[in-house]
Parts: sequence; C-alpha cells; structure tokens
Amino acid sequence: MPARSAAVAAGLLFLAVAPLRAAPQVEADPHDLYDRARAQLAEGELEKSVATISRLRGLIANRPEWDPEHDFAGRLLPPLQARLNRLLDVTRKLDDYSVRSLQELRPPGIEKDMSTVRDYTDWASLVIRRLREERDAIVAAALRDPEEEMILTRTESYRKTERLLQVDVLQRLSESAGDDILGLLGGDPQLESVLVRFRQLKRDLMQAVSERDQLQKDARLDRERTEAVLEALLEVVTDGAPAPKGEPGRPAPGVADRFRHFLDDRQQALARGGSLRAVEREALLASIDRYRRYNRVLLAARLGQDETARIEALSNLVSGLPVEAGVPASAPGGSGVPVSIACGLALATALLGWLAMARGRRIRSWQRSGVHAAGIGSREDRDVGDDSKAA
Amino acid sequence: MVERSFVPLVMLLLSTAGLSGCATSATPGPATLTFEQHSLRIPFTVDADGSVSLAEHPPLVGRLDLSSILKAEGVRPGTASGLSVQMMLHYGRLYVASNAFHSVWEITPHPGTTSASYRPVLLLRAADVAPVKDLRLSRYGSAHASCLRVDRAGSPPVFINSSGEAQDACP
Repeated sequence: MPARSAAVAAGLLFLAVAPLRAAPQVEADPHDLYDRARAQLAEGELEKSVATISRLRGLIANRPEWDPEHDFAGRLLPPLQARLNRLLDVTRKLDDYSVRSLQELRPPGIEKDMSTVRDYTDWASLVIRRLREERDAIVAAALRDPEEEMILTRTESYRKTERLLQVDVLQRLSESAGDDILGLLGGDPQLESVLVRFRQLKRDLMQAVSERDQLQKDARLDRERTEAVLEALLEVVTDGAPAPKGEPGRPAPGVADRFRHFLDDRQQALARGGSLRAVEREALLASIDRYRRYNRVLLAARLGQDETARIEALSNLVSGLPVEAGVPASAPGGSGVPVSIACGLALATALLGWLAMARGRRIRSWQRSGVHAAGIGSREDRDVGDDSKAA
Repeated sequence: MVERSFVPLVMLLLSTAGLSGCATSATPGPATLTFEQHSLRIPFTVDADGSVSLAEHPPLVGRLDLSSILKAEGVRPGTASGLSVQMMLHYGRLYVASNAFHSVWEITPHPGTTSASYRPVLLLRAADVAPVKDLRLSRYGSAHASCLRVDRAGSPPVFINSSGEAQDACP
C-alpha cells in the first residue's frame, strides 16, 4: 500500500513538473548564434565556433525572415568567417609543425657526441630556441592582427606547441639519455672525483651527526648535575626554608629569587618581634655574616643579583632590636651550625666551579665541531668549483 | 489676315504660359532618400539614477533617461541599479524591454531636441503575473517590411510592424 501511494505521488509530481519542463524555450536567433560564435572564437574554441557559424548559416538559409537585410549573411559573418579561417589555417600548420618537430627530434648519443652534461643541456637549449623561432615564424607569417595572435595562444594547437617546447623536448632527451647520464657519472674518469668527494662528504656528515648526538647527551647530564647542585645550594642559602608555592604554569623560582625571598621573610619576621635575648642576637649576627658570604658566592657564580642592601638592612634591624638583660652573651654550641653550613657552602662552591670548567670544555668542543662543519661546506664549494672546471 | 496669322502664336504663348504657370504653382516637397534605421539587439545596464549610458556600446554615445518608464513599471527609485534591459532600433524608433518589465516600450525621438515620447507598445504580463523569462527582441521579416519580433518563454512570438502596431504575424 505505501508503495502504491508513493507511485501515485510520483506520478502526480511528474504530471505537475512535466508542463514546466516542456515549456517551449526561445529558439536561438541569428544574433544569439553570432554572439556565441564570436565568444567561442575569442576563447580559442575554433571547432565550436565553426559549428555555431554553420548552424547560423543553416538558420538564415532555411528561414530568410531571420535576416531581412542579409546583415548576417552578407556583412557580419564574412569577416568572422575570414578570421576563423586564418586561425584554422595557422592551427593546422602548428599541428604539422608539432608532429614534424617531434619526429625529427633525435637527441645525439651522449657517449659519442657529448662529453659533459653541460654540453648536453646546451644542445637542448639550442634545439628549443630553434623550434620556438620556427613556431613564431609560422604565426607571424599567417597572422598580422595582434588580437588574432592572442586568440591563437588560446587554441589547443598552440598549447601543444608550448608543451613541445617546455616538456616534450626535454622528455625525449631524458628518455634517450637518462641511462647514459648515470653511466657517465659512474664511468667518466673526469667525473670520478665528484663521486669520491660525495662519498667523503657523506662520511663527514655522518661523523658530525654522531658528535652532535654525543654532545647533546653530555649537555643533558651536565644540566641534571647542575640542577642537583643548585638544589643543594638552595637548601644551604635559605637555611632549609621551604620553597614558596609557585603559580601554576610558571617555572619555579631560582636560587637568586629564593635567596631574596628568604632575606625578606627574615626581615619581616624580625620586624614583627620584640626584644631578643643576647644569644639570639649573636646567632642572628652570625647568620647575617653567612648571608654576606652566600651573597658573594652567588655573585661570583653569576647566579643572582647583589643582595648587600637587603643583608645590611637586616643587620641594622637586628642591631636595633633591644636585648633582654641577664642572659649570657654567647651560648655553647651557638657557632656549630654556621660552621657546618659554611662547610657545605664551600663544598657547593667547589662543585659549581668544577661544573663550570666542565661546561666550558664542552662548549669549546662544540665550537670546534661547528668550525669543522663550516670547513666541510667550504671544502665542498671548492671541490664543486674544481670539478666544474675539470668538466 | 494678320489676326489669323497671330492665332497660332497666341495659342503657343498661352499654352507656354499655362504650362509655366502650372509648373510654378505646384509646391515642391522636401527631398527624400531611403533611410532605414535598425540595430541589432543591444544590452544595457540601468544606472542608479534610472538612466542608461549609450556609450556602453560604442559608437553610440549619449544617455537615455528611463526613470519615467521605471516609475510606470513600478520599480522603486534607487532599486533599478544594475537592472538589465535590451534595446533595439527599428525604423527609427527605439524599443526597450526587460524581463522585469510588464510591457515593451516604444521611444520615439524628437529630432533636433533632447526629448522623446514614449508609450507601452506591447503588454507582456499582467500586474499580478510572474516576470517573463528569456525575453528577446529580434528583427524579422522581409527586406523592406521587417518587424520587431518579441519572443519570451512559453508564449508565441509577437511582431511589431513599422508603424508600431503589435501583431501575431509579420506581413
């Protein structure tokens, strides 16, 4: 049942659409055909233009009412037909020229007539130039009107000649000489040095790549060691203070920043406090002396800025704080911690110095490698020049 | 005798005078020559001000103000820019048509002036009917009695003769 309904609906739709589709179209009049033929001619579609003109002639021949004054037959069509005939004549000549040129194109044997690739390409350039001049002479002899020459360039025949000059000649060349050129590279004693040089350059390149990989591996190890030392140094200069929580997506602060923050925190903590006992004051002054040494070490290692101002402000703050009476000025063992930290700092400094020296050696080695690569390039240029002179 | 001998002379004089009188009394008409003014179909585009530039298709030059025709066609001012019209010169009159028009218009120039009279010469469709399709003006007929042929999709051709009258056939 649904199928039957669908068939009925389809039939009704066809009946509704059929009158629209069957509406008589306005037949082409001579002017339509004339415009169409001119447009086709202007686009270089000569065969289509011939067909349209033929249709136009048939229309006005069978129904002369369409051309009351013989305007199309007697005045408009003749010059159009003459132009079309000239272009058809030239395209026929160009077609003959393309076929003949391809048939006569016989690249010379490379082993017999050619000694170098340059001679071979010169021969190809000469042939292409000769064929182009011949093609242009054919066009110039047949067409005087620049507009007709422009139309000709849009025809298939002219495009075929362009393919001949741009592709076909070189393709014929490669078909007949491709294997010979390979054999030339392998067997010509003059070009044998080129092959030797290529092999040497390849070996040099592989060696340079291997050295580069090794240097990258060493640099990665150095970086890991440096980070470990810096972490240890950080523990020392901040007295083991916990690292501040960094913002997500931003790198963790370095030693200089942590040291600066550490000094600021100490200053703020002292500013909030009241009086000090004498032993605390002594310990703080000793710590400030350590901070001065840390600052010098960090400056020498170029790991941070000069924090002398902060340290001196901290020292002034400690000096200005009141000291509670009745407390011994020094506590036993009060200098034990600074001594151990100083030892750790000295150790870290020595380690940093060693790392810096090792890094310097590797950088110099890397630079030497770069100079070596540049030398290869210059040698390549020189060799190619020499080989070309030899060729 | 003498009087008789003068009779032929008097008759000759009278006849000569009569002939010459007839010759001088007839009013000479303006000299004429054959002049057929036709053109092929020329497409034009209406400018924003409702006019078309004839220089769009040299060697014609000048302007034709279609504002009045556009107004009569119900085209709102300022909306006719880019409208395609086709024109054809037929026996000295200009005919203008467009798919968007309701009529084919005839424009009769007034020689020596910059004005022309105009009138709808053929109704293409009623006011509430969809625009015509594939409207086309052509020249059709015999050498000295051609017509302006008006074709449009779905309708038989209509012919406008040299007097500007629409007919079903071209004589």
